[in-house]
Amino acid sequence: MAKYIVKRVLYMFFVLLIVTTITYFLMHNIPGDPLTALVMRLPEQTKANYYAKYGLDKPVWEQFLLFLKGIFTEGTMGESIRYPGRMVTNMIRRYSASSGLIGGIAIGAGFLIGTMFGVISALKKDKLPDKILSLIAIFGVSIPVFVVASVLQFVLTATFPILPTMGWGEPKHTVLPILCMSLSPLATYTRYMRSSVLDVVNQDYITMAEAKGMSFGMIVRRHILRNSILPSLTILGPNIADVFTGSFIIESIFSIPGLGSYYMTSVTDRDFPMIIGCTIFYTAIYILSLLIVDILYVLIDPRIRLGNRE
Amino acid sequence: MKKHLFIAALCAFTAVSVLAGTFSAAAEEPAQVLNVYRNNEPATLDRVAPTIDEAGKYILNDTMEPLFRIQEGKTVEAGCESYEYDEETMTYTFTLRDNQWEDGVPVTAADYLYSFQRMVDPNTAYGYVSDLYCIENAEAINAGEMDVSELGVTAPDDKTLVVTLDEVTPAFLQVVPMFPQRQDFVESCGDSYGIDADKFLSCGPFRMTGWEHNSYIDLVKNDSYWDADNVKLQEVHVALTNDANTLYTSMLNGTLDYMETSKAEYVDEFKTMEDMTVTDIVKPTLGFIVFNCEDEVLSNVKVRQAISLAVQRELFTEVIYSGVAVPAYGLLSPAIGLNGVSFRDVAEEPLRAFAEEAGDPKELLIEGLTELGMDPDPSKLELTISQGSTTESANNQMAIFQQCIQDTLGITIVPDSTEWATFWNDCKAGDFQMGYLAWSGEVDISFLFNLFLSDSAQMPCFYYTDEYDEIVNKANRSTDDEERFQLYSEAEKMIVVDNCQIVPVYYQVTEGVLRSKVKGWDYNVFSTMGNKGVYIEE
Amino acid sequence: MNQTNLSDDLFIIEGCSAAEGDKIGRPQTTYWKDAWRRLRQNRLALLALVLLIVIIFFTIFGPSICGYSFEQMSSDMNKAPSAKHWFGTDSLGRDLFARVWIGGRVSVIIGVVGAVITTIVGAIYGSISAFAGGKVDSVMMRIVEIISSIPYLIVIILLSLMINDSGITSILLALCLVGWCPTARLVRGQILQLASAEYVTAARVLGVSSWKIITRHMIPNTMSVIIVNLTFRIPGYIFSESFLSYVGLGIKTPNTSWGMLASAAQQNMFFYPYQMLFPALMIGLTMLSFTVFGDGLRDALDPKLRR
Repeated sequence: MAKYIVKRVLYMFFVLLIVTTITYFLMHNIPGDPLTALVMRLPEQTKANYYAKYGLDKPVWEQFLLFLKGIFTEGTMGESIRYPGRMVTNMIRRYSASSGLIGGIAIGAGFLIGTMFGVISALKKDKLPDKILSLIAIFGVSIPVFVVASVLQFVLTATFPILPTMGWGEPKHTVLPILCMSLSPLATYTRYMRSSVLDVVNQDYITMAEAKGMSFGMIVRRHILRNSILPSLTILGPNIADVFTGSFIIESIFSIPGLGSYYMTSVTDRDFPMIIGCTIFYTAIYILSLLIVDILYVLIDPRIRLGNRE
Repeated sequence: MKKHLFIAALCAFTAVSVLAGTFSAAAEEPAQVLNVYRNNEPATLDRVAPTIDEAGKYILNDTMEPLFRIQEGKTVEAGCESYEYDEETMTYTFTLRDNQWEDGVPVTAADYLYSFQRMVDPNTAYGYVSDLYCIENAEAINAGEMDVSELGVTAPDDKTLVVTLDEVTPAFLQVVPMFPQRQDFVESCGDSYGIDADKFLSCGPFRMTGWEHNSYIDLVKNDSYWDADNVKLQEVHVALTNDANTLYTSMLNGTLDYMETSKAEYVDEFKTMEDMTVTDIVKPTLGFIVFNCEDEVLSNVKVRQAISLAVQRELFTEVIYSGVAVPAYGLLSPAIGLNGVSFRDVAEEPLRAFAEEAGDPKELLIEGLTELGMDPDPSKLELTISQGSTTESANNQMAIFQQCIQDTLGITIVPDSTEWATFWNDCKAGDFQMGYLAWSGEVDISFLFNLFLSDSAQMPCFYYTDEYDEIVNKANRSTDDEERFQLYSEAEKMIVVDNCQIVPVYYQVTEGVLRSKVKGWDYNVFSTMGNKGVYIEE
Repeated sequence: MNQTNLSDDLFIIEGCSAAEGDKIGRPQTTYWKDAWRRLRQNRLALLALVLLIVIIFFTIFGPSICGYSFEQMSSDMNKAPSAKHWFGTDSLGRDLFARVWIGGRVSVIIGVVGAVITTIVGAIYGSISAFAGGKVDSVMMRIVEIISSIPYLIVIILLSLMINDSGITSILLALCLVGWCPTARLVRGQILQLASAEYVTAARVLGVSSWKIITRHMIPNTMSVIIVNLTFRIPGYIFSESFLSYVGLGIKTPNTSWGMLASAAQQNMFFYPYQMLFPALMIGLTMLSFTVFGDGLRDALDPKLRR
């Protein structure tokens, strides 16, 4: 297993390198540069100095090589152009923490509750609980998150003022954002779980377990959950990566110091170092979460062995 | 139905908060805490950094003590106790107050000198460095030809700062930011000066205790400030948000004490609430369409004038801003003026007179097309208006231009909205026909005029005349207010009528909604007084 | 266990003629007829299909029914739904009924065309990869892996900035350039799985020609996966478009889409909730219908359920 993980991590660096290269050249091809997006009144000489400071006066491939050199020799991704003085690596470290906290709890809660809802929904198929839960799942996926967030914010901070409207620092500030962000994963996992549990309950081994006189709770834990959770795990990987990028709307509505909003604004600001830094970060998160999911697979399903999953 | 529920909920909420308010008020003095917001995260609090923005300047007004502040359009002494100007040698001599940094170290003339030197240092890349070219040797230093120590600014002792100019500059005290920066502290922070609460040192009415990026900034009263006795607020909490619904909700539930909006729905609602005060604030901002005068069709001034006349400004302000914004027939908004006198009170808007004598814009267009030797049939003409914003409001504004111009002139208008950097990149490259944008003037009246000077060429109209340069340069050097007004009004007429490089559309007006318990609020757009004089009184 | 005594008189001989013994219990049908029969039995999926047809009908004919142009401004601004304006009007007095359906046209086109293109590209790519096998297969799959590891939002945003034209094309292109990867992977997996399936091996052993195996087994069994995947992907594209609109990189004026209408209404949603309600409802209904219909389709097409 250790050998497999090492191999995967090495492969990850290879993928990262290629993704970085693609994004780097893609981003230098969009119209405008950091200075068009930022200042308008610089004299030519100052402008030239400014470009020189960030190496923007050099050809793109040379900038790219310098950037790679910076990563490999100093472990730095450079300085943000939109926010001079802030190092990209520091910013990512700092802001991904709040995004990760909110997103992590939201996905975790969404996954757990969604799994639970899915099982209940499948076991009570076509009865009232199934209908209620399906309805929740429908709302969760089909209402745009900015609508849910604004409405919940209004209701829970103005109509019934029990939570803070915006801000960061105390646990109470995280309640609303987590609530809003967990709706979509909750709905997704409910749906996935429901259909895969339905597949499993009709299998012979369930009947067999029943025949053996196994208690209902045991059957759910031992057989149903284990066998039906795999499809949900498959989408958990991409979902984790989505949380980081998708959190941008929630972050801007609740004034959360997260990475999502920096990522979005770095594009409109043409903040090249920040775009590339965030891209590397998100790609790494994505690949790592795939790896973790693969390991989880093995832990849950003994039939699967690492290295030959197709 | 929904609306009723909503209002009921609102009433209930207001009742509760009023009740809560009366109980707490009876018990003690009102807490001197102010909750305000900024639309975006300050990129830096280093006043001379190229990225300094409006949010950063706002925080600096509260946390720093510049030599002068601006109140009601006039400069008043702040960090400087008094000053003298010698016309013969063109020398300013400033005498400083006994002020201290938040760590107790006295503020000295060397601190101000240091920030002057940083501004002209080419490595700083200060964006508005050309404002300082009036100081001796500044231009040469900025070009890298001289050392910063040769700048015409000296500090003979701790309390005296001397600035020597090499040309007469009436607006000097207004346009040059004179903020102190302590050399040892700035250097100890390296590149990261002014980007975090612990990388910043205050000497103003407030000091910074917390800065959570993209979330909030916390300020508390600075007891070592020279005028601390007159600062009543104990805390200022600055939220960083730009979501309209969040702002609205925050005003209702008391999270914020002040918001600015141009939404009629919000304003109507707040006007009905007893604990809110709503005030019109005329901004120094002009929304306008700039012509690319190198374009084949738009190179003809009559075509440009016809389009300018076709825009129905009253309809525009009525539909987009519910009549709150002011239709613009000139370049300068009523907010801009000289020494407290509004330019608009002195100078007529040039486009109004022209609109009356010009007659039918469609005929003007046909005349122009004939002059160009083109097909005079307007229906065959197609023009594109671009803009650098994709918000709903921006899209609506384009829709109105499209309708007005098409209906009046019978030509086809194609609206094109992209995000800012793409748009501005196209504009600078001359790859556009008409560009719709808004630009804010500064406290210095010449700011907007300077954009059209041929050597600055900030405005992408690609049409600059020597005649205009001459008038504006003369006005910028003049010390006689009356003469300056006269010259600027000639220049304004050139821009909007004679050369018709732009189509002025509206002067921006927003509504300031303030909780009534907040007193001493300064609505003046150019004021740099900050929250020094604000206090809470229930 | 109780054992009851069974006597012969409890049974009646029903009879069985020799001629009937050879008969197959079910009339012979084609695969598609069979699928359609099963789909018809699924009431929910059918309802979703009807709903989809209604929505598509309105996106085509809706704008001309109400008698207003979607661009025409009027002085009736921000009016609630009434007999005159069925869905109310927006801040420029434009009729929302017309706008919602015009916007629906764009959203549905982006959803359907985007999903169809990516599915076709992905299916071709995936099957080539699966049939080629060996080194070609592993290289092709590594490419898919790399493309799908790039944060897809950033790619879409960068691409739409690069292409920058005012139509649907730029958004479609951006969505398609990254969207085909999951389908490619799915189709390849399905084909590989089928190739090693016991009945395919059995067919091969029995001497069935490769061509017949492909047409009889591979295509029908992959088709179902592809079609189901298609219906699930459509709502994804509709949603992506609405996110792009929220960020300001969506379709451009004067064109509109559900995403644009919803994000425009967000600013005023406490005052004019109906401006938000209709586009959001349409996004929700369409996404829901495609998902439910896709579910039904999967059940109907699943050969395992073919009894």
